[in-house]
Amino acid sequence: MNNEPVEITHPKFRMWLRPDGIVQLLWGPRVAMGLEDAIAAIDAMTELTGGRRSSLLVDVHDAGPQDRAARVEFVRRGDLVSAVALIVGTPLSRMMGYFFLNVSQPMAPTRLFDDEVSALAWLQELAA
Amino acid sequence: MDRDDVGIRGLERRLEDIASTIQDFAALRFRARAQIGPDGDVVDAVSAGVNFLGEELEASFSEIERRVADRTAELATATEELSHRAFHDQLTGLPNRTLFWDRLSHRLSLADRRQTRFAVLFLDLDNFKAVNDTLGHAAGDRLLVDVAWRIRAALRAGDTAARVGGDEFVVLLDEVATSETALVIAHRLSEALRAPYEIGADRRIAMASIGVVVGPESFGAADAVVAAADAAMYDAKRRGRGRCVLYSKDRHGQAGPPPLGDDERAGLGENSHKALPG
Repeated sequence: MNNEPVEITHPKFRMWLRPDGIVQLLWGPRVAMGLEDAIAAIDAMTELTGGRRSSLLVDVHDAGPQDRAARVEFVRRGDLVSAVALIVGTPLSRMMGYFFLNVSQPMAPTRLFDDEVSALAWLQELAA
Repeated sequence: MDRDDVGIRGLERRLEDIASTIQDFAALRFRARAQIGPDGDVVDAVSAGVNFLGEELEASFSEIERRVADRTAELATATEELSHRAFHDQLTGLPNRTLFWDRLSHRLSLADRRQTRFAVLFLDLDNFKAVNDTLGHAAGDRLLVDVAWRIRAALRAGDTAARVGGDEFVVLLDEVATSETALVIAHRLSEALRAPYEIGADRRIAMASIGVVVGPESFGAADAVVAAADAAMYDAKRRGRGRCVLYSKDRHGQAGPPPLGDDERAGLGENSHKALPG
């Protein structure tokens, strides 16, 4: 029996493990993300996956700004992810996505999407 | 004022805030942040982008400052090392000829203002060539290092010892009351140098011929002082090993740089180490 939790709830985000093995992360509306929040998200993913490298679907379409320390931490712990799909929506979230992609330059394949369907399709194609 | 005016005014305020933040960053005030509203609209995106750039600028600036500080410290260390090498003998760590001459010249310049006299000792090891020939240059170097240590240990604070040739050392005794005081110190030094040296598995005795001159007298320059001590040293060497001789104008003549072609100096010069730092 798998004793790992399926969903983790945090004041700023909700994270769950989908049946297809993809981890889904939904940030709260307009919440700003700092280093502590990044660490919490990383710890949550580790708990959900048991530390196994997994695909990650991140919904930031309505999230607040993310500071540099958080971005650096996500890149530093890139060993936990095999690919990352970022769902963006507002101009702010799109700016954050582009900054993460082009300035932080994560190691794992990372792309921006406008919707969940296309984001999931890409992650599933990579995993196949 | 209609809704469009309110909207425009609000937009202007937000853009002014962004412009102000950009100016802060330009002035290296990296703690500034543009306001980001709840809507996440395009102006919020620009604000966030400006803030992100500020963070990256700050990180880069800090890294550059750190590297400059590191390089400055490295440069200071290298400069200090170079400076030290310029004035010290690399083998023994003693001041070299340049530094000694500088200190002696300075002491001469103070002669009128100081109540006490000074003395210069010129030491030449008596059997150094034998050590080099039988035990090798590495052993000879170790002996010189030990000799330098013993000379340093025998001196008082304020005195200066220097290595000026292969097996030649000079000492400036900054303050001596009388010639006898200088001779006592020279004899004490001679005794200290006489104790056996452990060179690897070998045990050797090294003695030094020491010439002593007391100043300021009528010496005009450092060269004359050292030449006088050198002349007295030669006299000591001629009298046997491990002797100390006080310079006397009557006995040793007017001191000055030895003339070119002096056989005795040339003969001893061939046997000396060429050891001054490069």
